[in-house]
Amino acid sequence: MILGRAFEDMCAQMYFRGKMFGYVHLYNGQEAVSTGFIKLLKKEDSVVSTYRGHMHALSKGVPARAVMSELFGKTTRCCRGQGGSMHMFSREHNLLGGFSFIGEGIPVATGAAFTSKYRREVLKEADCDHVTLAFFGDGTCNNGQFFECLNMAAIWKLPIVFVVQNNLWAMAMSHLRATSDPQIYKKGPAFGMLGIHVDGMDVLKVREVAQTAIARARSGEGPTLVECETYMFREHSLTGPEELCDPAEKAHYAARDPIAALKRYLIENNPASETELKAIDKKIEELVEDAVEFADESPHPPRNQLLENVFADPKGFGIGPDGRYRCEDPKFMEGTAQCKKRGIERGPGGGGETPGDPSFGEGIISPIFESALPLASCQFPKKFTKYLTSADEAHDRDVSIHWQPYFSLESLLSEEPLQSSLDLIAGQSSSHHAEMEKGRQVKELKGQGRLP
Amino acid sequence: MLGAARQKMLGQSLQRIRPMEKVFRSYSSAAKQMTVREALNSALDEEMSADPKVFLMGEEVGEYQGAYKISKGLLDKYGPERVLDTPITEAGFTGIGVGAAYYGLRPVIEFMTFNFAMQAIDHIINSAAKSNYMSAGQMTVPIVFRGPNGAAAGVGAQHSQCYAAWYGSCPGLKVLSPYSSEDARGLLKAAIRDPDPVVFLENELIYGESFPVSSEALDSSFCLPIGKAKIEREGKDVTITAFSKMVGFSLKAAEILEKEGISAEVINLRSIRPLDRSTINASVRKTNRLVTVEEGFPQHGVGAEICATVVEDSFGYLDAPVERIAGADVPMPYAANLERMAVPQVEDIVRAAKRACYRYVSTAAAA
Repeated sequence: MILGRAFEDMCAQMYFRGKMFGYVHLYNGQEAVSTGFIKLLKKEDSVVSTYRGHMHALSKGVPARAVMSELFGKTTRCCRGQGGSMHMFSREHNLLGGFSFIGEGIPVATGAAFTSKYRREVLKEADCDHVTLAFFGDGTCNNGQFFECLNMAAIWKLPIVFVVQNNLWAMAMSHLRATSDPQIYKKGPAFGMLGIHVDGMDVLKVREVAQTAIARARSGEGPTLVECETYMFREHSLTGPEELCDPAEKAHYAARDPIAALKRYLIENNPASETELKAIDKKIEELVEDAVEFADESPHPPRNQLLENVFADPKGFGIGPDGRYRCEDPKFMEGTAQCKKRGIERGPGGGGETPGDPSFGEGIISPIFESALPLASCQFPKKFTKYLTSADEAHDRDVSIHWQPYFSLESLLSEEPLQSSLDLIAGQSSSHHAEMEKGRQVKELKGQGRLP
Repeated sequence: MLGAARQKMLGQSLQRIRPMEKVFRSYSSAAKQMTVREALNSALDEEMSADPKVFLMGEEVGEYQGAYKISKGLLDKYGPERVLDTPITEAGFTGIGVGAAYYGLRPVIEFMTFNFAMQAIDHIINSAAKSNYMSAGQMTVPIVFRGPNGAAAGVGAQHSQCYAAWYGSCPGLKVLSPYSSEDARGLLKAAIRDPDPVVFLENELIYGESFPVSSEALDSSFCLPIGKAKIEREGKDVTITAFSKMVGFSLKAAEILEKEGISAEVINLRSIRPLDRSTINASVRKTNRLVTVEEGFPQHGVGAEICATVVEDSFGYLDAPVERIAGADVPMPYAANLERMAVPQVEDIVRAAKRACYRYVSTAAAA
């Protein structure tokens, strides 16, 4: 919790120093909810959060360094700076984001819970009892997707816990103004699931309730809706002005600060002494400072990262594991079909049967797609390079050249010679042609002012 | 043509330049007729049996056997855990599909029509399409969203929109639109195996149409490459690009044009995103004239993108301005005669092709 608080405070500092940008939503005051729930999870359990998700990431185990450098937009770890404050994903820690749309994360969390059940029942992984936690706010409880998912989770008995962080304010809209029945936990029984209300400022109470809910989910009894009454000590977002809440309300909740409360409890009941707590404080401070330093020193993403990762497989299900096009592989059709022995007529103007044949496989195939992939990994099979007739070659070369810019942005910045698809098509050695091509592109882009 | 036994390269064979009638004649003994519905059903069946992680989710896909009977028989074969009937919660079940895909399952989400998918478009675009990018490759989403797209007959404005252009503009999605049974089979199988989100736009009116399929297409590992168009009919005077139902209309138009001495090349786009720009450009460079046909709204449509592409790449080769044929710029009317006017018909394509050819009188003689 202390890490969360210190981290978020540091975020605020960094934001006002200009190192972070865009939307940053801080979690101060609600730490008990996050810690109380997430610390009870296993590594394989998943968490889906909203835009206010730094703390969930930290609780789930994503290192503070990674989160901080993601916020700074640097390339090291988390999402390589491509996600930002609102979109934290970590495959390793099963943190499924980070959704900025209200209510968008709930169906995704329900899907993750569905997968857990599917794996147990259909794929027969008997020990798969992963639980999913979906965190969202009180404003989301008026959104259609929330109700749709409560319904489906209940009918299919999915292992999910819906955790409502009711901090009474949805941006500047008071929960009481927006909701017909402000007691959110009552919506659970309406859908046939358990609905629990808990004081979200007391981490021990939250933990108790969390234990029940998670155990229920793990044993297959179905979903639970937990409403945690909590409060945000800072404003909705660092970009927006202070909202319309009453200072008295703020003071009331500030007196119930979860961290202060837990400290008092620990000192009174003696599991820890003040010096130990101070030591923890100090350690966390150092950790956060270190995270900031690390993030500061991390490099910005390189320019070629712009076009990466749009697709997992940019060429479509067409590339085999050896990097070649599946559909051009002569063995592609093997399986139950005996195409070699079939002897089907190719039709007029058909190509030859062997790669050496000059009319082998007429038709223009160009491996150029929109999303950039370093060309070196697109190994156009050499033996098919002679399939173009000479007339087509010229056309195809022209066409291919124009689309090079999508690739050359990446390759222009890299030191490696560009393995031009043209060369592979033409069957020539790559370096000379590629370098010429590269030079031409650089000149063109400089002329257009797109390169310094 | 050398030798009797030949190895058929799928990639090359699909660029085959043959009018459809010749295909029938030479393949009549080997070819089987298959409706698009059967093709989709068999593709789903085979993919579900090959990979236990594939499951189908949507409204009425189970006990009703599919709103258009595409998923007929699948519930009996695979059980209710793999063929899930959902309540009418598009946003909810699409999000559930995306969440399942995050975790490595391979959902096929069926929308009763893509019009209803508008309730779920937040998940298609924000959760599915953008996730791989936002998470820097950590979260891949191997999901397929499929369903009928475009106008059916007399279903009114809210059930007739074509979404190819909308989904086609979104990075992170692959958008496919099959025409024939072979397309449907191959592309659906490729889409299910693909590790990225795929929007699969079918058309209700072609579900019942029968096409010949070669025996290769019936093989269970048959897949078509995503991002490659097919030249359905070769020609040398004008290029006509189309997708889905409009390919059928374009082929009929091409036959009419043939009688008037204009040889039209018909390209079946198959893949709206990534668009097969090289095939289109190569064809335009050959014929020097282009007519794009689509069913959707004209502004910012697929035809607009193709026109821009051709102007960027092959401007010098164009002998006439690009002709765009699209649906009328109105929400689809209900009355049958108005609906016919609001959707491109064969005569419109013929007229546009002629316009593209006769615009410059000097080249009309050569054409």
